[in-house]
Amino acid sequence: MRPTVKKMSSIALVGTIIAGLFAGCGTSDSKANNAGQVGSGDGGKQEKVVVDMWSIWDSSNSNGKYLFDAAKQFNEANPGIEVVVSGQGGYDGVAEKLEAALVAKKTPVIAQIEESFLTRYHPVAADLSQYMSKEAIDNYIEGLTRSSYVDGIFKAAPMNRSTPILYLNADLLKAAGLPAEGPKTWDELYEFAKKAAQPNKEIYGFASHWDSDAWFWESAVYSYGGEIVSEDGSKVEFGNEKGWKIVELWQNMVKEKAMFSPYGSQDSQSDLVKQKFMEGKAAMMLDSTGSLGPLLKESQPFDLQVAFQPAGEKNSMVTGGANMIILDSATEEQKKAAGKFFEFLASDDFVVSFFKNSGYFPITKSSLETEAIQALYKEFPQYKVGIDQLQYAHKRPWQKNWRAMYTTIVEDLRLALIDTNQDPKQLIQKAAEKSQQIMDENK
Amino acid sequence: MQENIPAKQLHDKKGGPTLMKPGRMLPRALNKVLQNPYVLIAPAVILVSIFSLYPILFAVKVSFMNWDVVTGEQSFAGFNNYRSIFADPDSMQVLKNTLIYAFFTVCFGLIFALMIGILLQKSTFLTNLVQSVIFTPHIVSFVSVTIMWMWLLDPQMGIVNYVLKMFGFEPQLWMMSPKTSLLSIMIVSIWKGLGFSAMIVIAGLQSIPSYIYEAAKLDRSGRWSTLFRITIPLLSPTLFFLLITSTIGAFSSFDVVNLMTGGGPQGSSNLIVHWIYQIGFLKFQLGKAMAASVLFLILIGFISLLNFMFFSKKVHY
Repeated sequence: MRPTVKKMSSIALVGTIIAGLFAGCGTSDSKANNAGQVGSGDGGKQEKVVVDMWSIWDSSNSNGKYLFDAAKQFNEANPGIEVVVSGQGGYDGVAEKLEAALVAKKTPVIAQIEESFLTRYHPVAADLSQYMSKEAIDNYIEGLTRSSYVDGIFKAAPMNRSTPILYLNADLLKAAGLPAEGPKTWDELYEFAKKAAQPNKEIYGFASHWDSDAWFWESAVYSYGGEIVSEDGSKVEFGNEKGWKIVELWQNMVKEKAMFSPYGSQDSQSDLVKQKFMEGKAAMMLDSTGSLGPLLKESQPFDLQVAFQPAGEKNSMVTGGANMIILDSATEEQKKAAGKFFEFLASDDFVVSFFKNSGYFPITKSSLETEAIQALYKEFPQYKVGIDQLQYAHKRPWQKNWRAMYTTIVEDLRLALIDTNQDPKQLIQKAAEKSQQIMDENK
Repeated sequence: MQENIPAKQLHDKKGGPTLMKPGRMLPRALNKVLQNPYVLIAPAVILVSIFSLYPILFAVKVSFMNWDVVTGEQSFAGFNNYRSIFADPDSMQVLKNTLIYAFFTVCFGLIFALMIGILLQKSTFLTNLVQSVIFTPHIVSFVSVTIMWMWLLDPQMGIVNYVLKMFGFEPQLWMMSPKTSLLSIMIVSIWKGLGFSAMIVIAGLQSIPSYIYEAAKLDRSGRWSTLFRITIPLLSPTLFFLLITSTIGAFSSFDVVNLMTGGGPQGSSNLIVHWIYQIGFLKFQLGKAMAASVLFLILIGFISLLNFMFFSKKVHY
């Protein structure tokens, strides 16, 4: 076969297109890599270390705004570093994008991940003690770092952290002849709710929901002395009385119209519960300490108090929220810069202002001693209850499949409150079997 | 050589127009290159290879592997991923759900589209207006449509339950109950797809020559016999097109499940594609997810083949 001009030219053209395509990809790749490592700032005079941070919030989020502002302040104070924060769509969004980034080998330097997700991502997380000072690490409140260690190595720095807490409408409780300090146990809560409820006025004794990741249920299970998974993370341990007791209790309260549990099709249960409470239509509410700041800022027509989450057999409640990890694949300069940024986020100034604005915990011991926080305690003693409760903190399940597990558990929990004829024992046992199957499939 | 063809011969033998002679516009060498069909299809072939063929081959490869993306560990798994799909009790449930969902959304989608098409085929101001209104859901994103329906079907505040109660029916839990969750997503899917299907049916109906109806009228053909002996047979290519596209669409439904029910409660509304997504991104079992994708590809191919075998003969062209 003789090569003709026609054939040659067509081959040449096809070749050019392919080369162009690959060249295009190649160029953008190298640019992306450069952006991840060093960028030139100040008109090229000084090389900056660029640190990408993937956050659960974007800048339009009220809490995200504080983080973005913090990065800006940090960048101004550190001309050689540029922290670039970007929102990735909540806890699940960060997790999903991190998976894709690990496949593509294009990970960020910092990722803000839900507390329990460290069980999955610890193999790629750097040892933070290499990049942060010992003083800074020791300064974190102990209850909040229980889920930061893997095999004794500090891998996740606390960021926005919270626990469940019981909110009280002291006026409604007093009107029902109940002590304003609220109930101490779940059984007491049941009795309080029945007495405080006034169905004719559409007032409920108690309002809550399971939360999208079964957080409140999980916390109650710990308070009954139960566990979600065994210490080594190999066995499900909630398929028993400790797992279903709270489900049975809430179901009874819903049946007796003492509890408001919105199970509407919208994913806004949290807002509906808070709304009911703030309207003075619920005497008690179980919610995150993270709501305290915004709720106290709102003007309430009643005396808003808080109490420890009720105990089952003991005081024990889950912590929640997000920690930050540094990806080990980043360059040494980036990791050092990221460590510096973590220390900035743990500085008293930032911790206090973030606490006051968001309601999330002050994460360091030294911040608790500051005048600003002491003054805040005086004005709003409610803030102190959450901190005092931290001595009973329990970390989230140490299981890398926890996300898949709670997705199925929460469906059964919801069903229990939607259809109160469902047997809570059967539902929980079924959820436990399903969870065990998920764990066994992906060891 | 084409350059020697006189301009007046730029029509083929049947009189249809051929490509305009580009010689005058472009340099001769480029002109020659562009006449090569392989060059013309090259961009499409390259894009399909990169964005479709490569991912499929990659999926087949990974389906035989265990792959932990966090640690980067990869190992050959043989047919283990395929075996675990057949052993998984969820797989039969999602297959059953998907078949029920596809059957009812396609059947009712086509029947309603045909009914609406026939009612609206005359071009008057009112029918044109109704056509536009019915078409609207097609151009609105699935996210908006779903959010709207979630309000309508809300068990406590939704208008659908309000209407049911008004007429003395029992209010339903809709997507909150395992009994009605699949029905809820079917209602939304049919409603969303109806406008597009109806529009295609109307276009098909309008292409049927009016003299055939006039002849039928002269032969005293009744309304039903005209529908079944003239309209539907002559509309069969359109209906066949809709059958194939809506079947594939129904099998690959994802957004409606993800947004409305997340596959629950208790997996009652989980469909195959959403289940694959859950295996991959919730349980992080990439090998198993890829194996499920490969099986799904074979299933879709098989169903399309069945459609072609059974219905293409009945299609009048």
